Amino acid sequence: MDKILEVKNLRVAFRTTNGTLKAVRNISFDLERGKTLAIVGESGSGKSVTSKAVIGILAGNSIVEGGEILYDGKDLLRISEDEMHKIRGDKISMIFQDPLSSLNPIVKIGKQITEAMLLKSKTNRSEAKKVYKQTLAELKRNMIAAEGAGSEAKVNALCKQLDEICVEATKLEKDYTDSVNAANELVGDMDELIFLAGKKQNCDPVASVKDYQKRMTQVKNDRLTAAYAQELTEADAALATALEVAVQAKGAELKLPENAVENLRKVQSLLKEIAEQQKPDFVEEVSQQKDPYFMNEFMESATKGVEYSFNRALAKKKDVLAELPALRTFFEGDFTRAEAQKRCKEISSTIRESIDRLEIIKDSAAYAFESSLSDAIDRFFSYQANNVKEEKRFARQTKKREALVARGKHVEWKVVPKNVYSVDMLRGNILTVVDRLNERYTAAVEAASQMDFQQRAAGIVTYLKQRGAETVHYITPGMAREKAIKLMEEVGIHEPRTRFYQYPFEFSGGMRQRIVIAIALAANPDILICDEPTTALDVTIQAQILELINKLKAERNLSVIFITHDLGVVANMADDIAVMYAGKIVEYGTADDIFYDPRHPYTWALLSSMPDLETTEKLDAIPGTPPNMIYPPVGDAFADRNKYAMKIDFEQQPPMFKISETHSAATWLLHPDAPKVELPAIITNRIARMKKAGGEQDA
Amino acid sequence: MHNQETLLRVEHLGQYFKSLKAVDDVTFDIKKGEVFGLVGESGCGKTTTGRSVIKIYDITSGSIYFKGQRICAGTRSYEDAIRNARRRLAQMKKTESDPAVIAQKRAELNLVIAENRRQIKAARFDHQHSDREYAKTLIAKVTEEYQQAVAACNDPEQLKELKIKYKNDLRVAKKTKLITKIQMIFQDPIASLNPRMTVREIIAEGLVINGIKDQAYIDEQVYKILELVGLTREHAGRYPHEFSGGQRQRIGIARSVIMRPDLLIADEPISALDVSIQAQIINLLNELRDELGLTIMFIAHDLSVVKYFSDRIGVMYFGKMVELASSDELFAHPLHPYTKSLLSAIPLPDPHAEKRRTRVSYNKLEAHDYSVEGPTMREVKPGHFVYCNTAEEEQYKKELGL
Repeated sequence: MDKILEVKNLRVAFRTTNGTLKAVRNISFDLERGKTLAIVGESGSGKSVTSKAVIGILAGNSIVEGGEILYDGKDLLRISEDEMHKIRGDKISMIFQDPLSSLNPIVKIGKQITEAMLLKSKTNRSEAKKVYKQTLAELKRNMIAAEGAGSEAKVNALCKQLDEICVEATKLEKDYTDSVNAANELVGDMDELIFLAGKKQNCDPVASVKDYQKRMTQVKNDRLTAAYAQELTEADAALATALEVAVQAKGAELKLPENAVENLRKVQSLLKEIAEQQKPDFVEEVSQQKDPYFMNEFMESATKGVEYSFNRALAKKKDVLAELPALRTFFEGDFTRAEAQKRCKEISSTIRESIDRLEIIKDSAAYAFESSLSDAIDRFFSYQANNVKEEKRFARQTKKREALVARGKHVEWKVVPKNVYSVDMLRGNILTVVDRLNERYTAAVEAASQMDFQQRAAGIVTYLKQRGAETVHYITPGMAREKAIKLMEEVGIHEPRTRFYQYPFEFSGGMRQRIVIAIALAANPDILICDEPTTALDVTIQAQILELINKLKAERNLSVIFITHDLGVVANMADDIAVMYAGKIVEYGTADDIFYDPRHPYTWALLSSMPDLETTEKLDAIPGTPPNMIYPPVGDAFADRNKYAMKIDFEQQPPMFKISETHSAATWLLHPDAPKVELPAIITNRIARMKKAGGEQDA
Repeated sequence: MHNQETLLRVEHLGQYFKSLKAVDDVTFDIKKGEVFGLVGESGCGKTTTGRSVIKIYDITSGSIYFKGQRICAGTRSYEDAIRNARRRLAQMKKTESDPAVIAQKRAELNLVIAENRRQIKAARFDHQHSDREYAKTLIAKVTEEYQQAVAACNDPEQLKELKIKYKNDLRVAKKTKLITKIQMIFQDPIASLNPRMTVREIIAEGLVINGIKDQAYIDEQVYKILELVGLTREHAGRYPHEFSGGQRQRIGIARSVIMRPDLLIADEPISALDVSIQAQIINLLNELRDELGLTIMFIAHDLSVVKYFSDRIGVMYFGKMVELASSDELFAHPLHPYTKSLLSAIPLPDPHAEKRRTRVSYNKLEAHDYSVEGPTMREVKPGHFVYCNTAEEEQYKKELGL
C-alpha cells in the first residue's frame, strides 16, 4: 500500500459569464505505485478538470475552492509555478486526447522528443547535488547528536570519508558513463552509416570510419582495457581493415563494401556488450579499496543517527498529537483571522520539528500541513466576506426579473445566483487538514515499535549513492538522440532512425499517439496521466495503444491515471475505477467490483447503454442530459435521469456507502431502509454470461 | 421484416483519387428494410463508399443502381478495356504476318472498342441525367392523374382548384431528384449544421429546395419530424449552438428524415457523442427504422455497436471489401484473417475476459499467398462472401465444416 498521489476533498469551479460553474465537487482518491486508476464519466463530469488540476494546467478562470493534491511531500495546489515546473513533465506526465494538436507541426519528431531531455540535463544535475549535500549534512547532525558530546571529530571524519569515497566513485562513474555513452553513440552512428550505405545514399565511409577510430579512444578507459583487452585490439584491427576496404572501394562506388560492413558489425557487437553490461556499484568498490571496514563502521554510526532522528521526531509527534484536540476545538468555535493564523504558525513550528528529515518517502500530510491550514483559514475568511460588486449585480438582475414577471411576461432566463459558500463547508476544510494529520501521526506512533533502523540506514546510504551518481549524469545531443531512438523502438515505431528526422504530418494517427507517449516517457516520470488517449483512434490501433501503455506500465513501474468515457476500454487497463458524475465520484472500486457488482444507478446506466457482442435487448439509454453545473442540484445530481430515484434523492445528497474494503458507492439505494431494487436485465444477463464464460475458461 | 427486394446495388465500385485507390472494385447490395453495416479502420474507404453512393464524389468506375435505376456510373473500366484492345492491336501488327488473320482480329477488337464506347456514352448519360429521367416519370404520373381528374370533374370551381394543385405538383415533380431519396447523417453534429440558420430552416431546407412553397405545410412537417426524433416544437426557433451534442445529432437526423428517404446513410453518427447519448441515438434510429420503413447503411468503427444494430456487415480493408456476411454469421465464423484480427481487438466490459484476450495481428503480405492466383470475391457459404482465391476458399470451407 504505497500511495504515490493523494487527492483530498478537491473542489474546482470556473468563473463564467453566466455564474460560477462547479466542475469538481469534493472528490478524493489515492493512486498507488504501479497501479492504474481509471476515471470514467461523461463529458462535463469533471474528469479532465481533475487531471488538469493534478498537473497544474487549469484554465485561467478556474478557482480551486479547496482540497489538496499531495505528491512527494508537496501540495501541488499550493506550490509555486517554479516548483510545479520541476514536477510537471518530469515526475508527472500527460498524454492528451488529440495527438495532432499536442505535437508541433513544424518541428521534426526527433527534436520534439529530445528537447526536454536536453533542457533538463543541467537542472537535474544541480538539483541532485543540492539534495545530496543536504541529506549528508542532516545525517551528520543526527549522528553527532546520537553519539553524544565529544564524538564530533569521529563523526566528522566518518562523513568526510564517505563524501570522499562518493566523490571518487563519481569520478569513476563519470569515466564509465562517458565511455558507455561514447560506445552507445558510436553504435548508433555505425547503424546510420550502414543504413545509408545500404540505400546507396550519399555518405562518405572513409571519413566516417576515420572518425570512428578517433572516437574509439574515447570509449577506452583503464577499466575497459583491463576487462576487454583482447577484444578492443581486435576491434581496432577490424576498424583498420574496414577503413582499408573503404579506401580501396571509394573510387569504384560510394556504397560501403560488404566486408567493411562486416567489420563494423564486429566492432558494434563489442560496443553493444560494453554499453549493456550491468553498472557496477562504484561506492562499494572504492570503499573496499580504501578501507574494507569503513562501510560497516559508518553504517553502525548511521544507524544510530537514524534511530536518534526518528525517536526525536517521534517524541515531537506525540507532542503534536497532544496538541491537536485543542486545536480542533479552537477551530470549531469562533476565531478571528489573526488568532487563527497565529495558532497555525505555532503548531506548524512544532510539526516542522516532528518531521523526520531522514525519511526517504515523505509524509505529505505533515510536509504540506502549514500551507494547507493557512490556506484553508484564508479561504474561510475571504469567501465569507461580502463581495460588493457581486451583491449589486445580484440585486440588479433580481429587480429586472421581478419587474418583468410583474408585467406578466414569461421570463426564460434565471438570475445568476450569488456565490455563496457555506460556513460549514469552509470550516470542514480546516478541520479535515487537522484530522488527517491526527490520523497519520496516530498511525505513525503505533507503527513505531516495528521500525527496522538498519534497513532505514541502508536506505539512506543508497539514496545518497544514487544522488551522487546523478550529479554526473549529463546528456549531449548525440546521447539524447540515441535515447530517443531507443524510446521510439520501445513504443513500437519501426525504422526509428528514419522516423527520427520526419515531421508529424508524415505519421499516421496511431503513430502520432505513440510519439506523444514517447515524449511523455522521455523524462522517466512516476505518474502518467492519459486523457482519453484512444478516443481519436480506431479499434485496432486503440488495442495496440492500450497494450503499449500496459506494457510500459509493467516495465517501468509507472502509476497511471486513465481517463475515458468508454467503460469497455477500461476493463483491460484499470486496477481501480472511479465513476464520476457531475463533479463527484459516485462509485469507486476495483475493476472486478465495478464490472461484476455495480451498485450505483449511473454505473448501471453506463454499462447498459453500450451494447456488447451478445446484446440483443433494447439499449437502456439514459434519458436527458447532465445537469447544468452552474445550478448544481440540491440532492443527488443523477436523480433527474434516474428511474430508481426516490424522494430523498431530490432532497439530500447521498453519502458514500461502503460495500466492501475496496468498493463504495454514493446512492441512497444502499441505505438499509431503501427498497430492494433489481439490476437492469441487460446487466444481469451480461454478468451471468461473463461468469459462465469465465467458469468455462477456468475449467 | 425484410424481403429480398434489392434497394441499392453497388457493382465494381472504384473511386480513385489520382493514383490512390480509395475504393477498388467493391460490390454489394442492400436489401429493402435492412441495416447494412460497413466496418473497417480509418482510411479503408468506408466513408468514401458512402459518399460515392450519394454522389458527393463522381465515381471512377463501376455503377450504382438505386431502385433499379442506374444513378452513378464510372467510365474508367471501359476506358481501360479500350486501351487494352488498342494495345493488343498494335502488338498483333508486329507479330502476325497473315493479312487475313489481322483483318479478322482487327474486326473483333474494333467491335470490342465500339461496344465499350457505347457503354461509356450510356454511363455518362445515366450519371448525368438519372435525376431528369426520374423527374420525367414523375411528371408523366402527375399529368396523367390530372387528366383523369379533369375528365371526371364538371364543376368549374373545382376545376380551378385542380389546376392550382396540378401546377404545384408539377413544380415539385420537376424539382424532385432521385438522389434525394438517399439521405445522409454526418459524423460531426457541430460541423454539419449551419450556425446561421434556425433549426426550422435547417430541417425545412430540403423541402424548400424541392419546390414546396406552402409555409403552413412546411411548418407542420417540421413539427411532426421534431417530435418524431424526440425534440419539441419550441426547439424549431432556436439555433444549433443552443443544443447539446445529442440534440444536434437529432436535428441532423430530422433534416434527413423529413425528405422521406428510402435509404439513409449514417456515417459514424455516434462516434462524436457521449456513451449515454450514443444509446439514445441508436434507439432513435431503431425506432425510425421501424416507423418509416427505412433502409440504413451504417458506417462505423465500433464493432459492438455495428453488431448490435446491423443485419448484414461488410468488412473493408484498404479499399477492398474483404468479407460480407450476416452479422451473426460474421461474428460466429469470421473467415478472412483481417476480420479475425479486427474482432480480436474489440474491448469488452469484462475484466477477466480482457486479461485473457489475445489480439491477432494482420499482415497482408504474410497472411496470403497470391503469387499463383489472385483473389476474388467468392461465396463460401450462402450469404457469406470472402475475398480469397481457390486455395483459401477450400481452406475456409474446411473451417466451416462444409
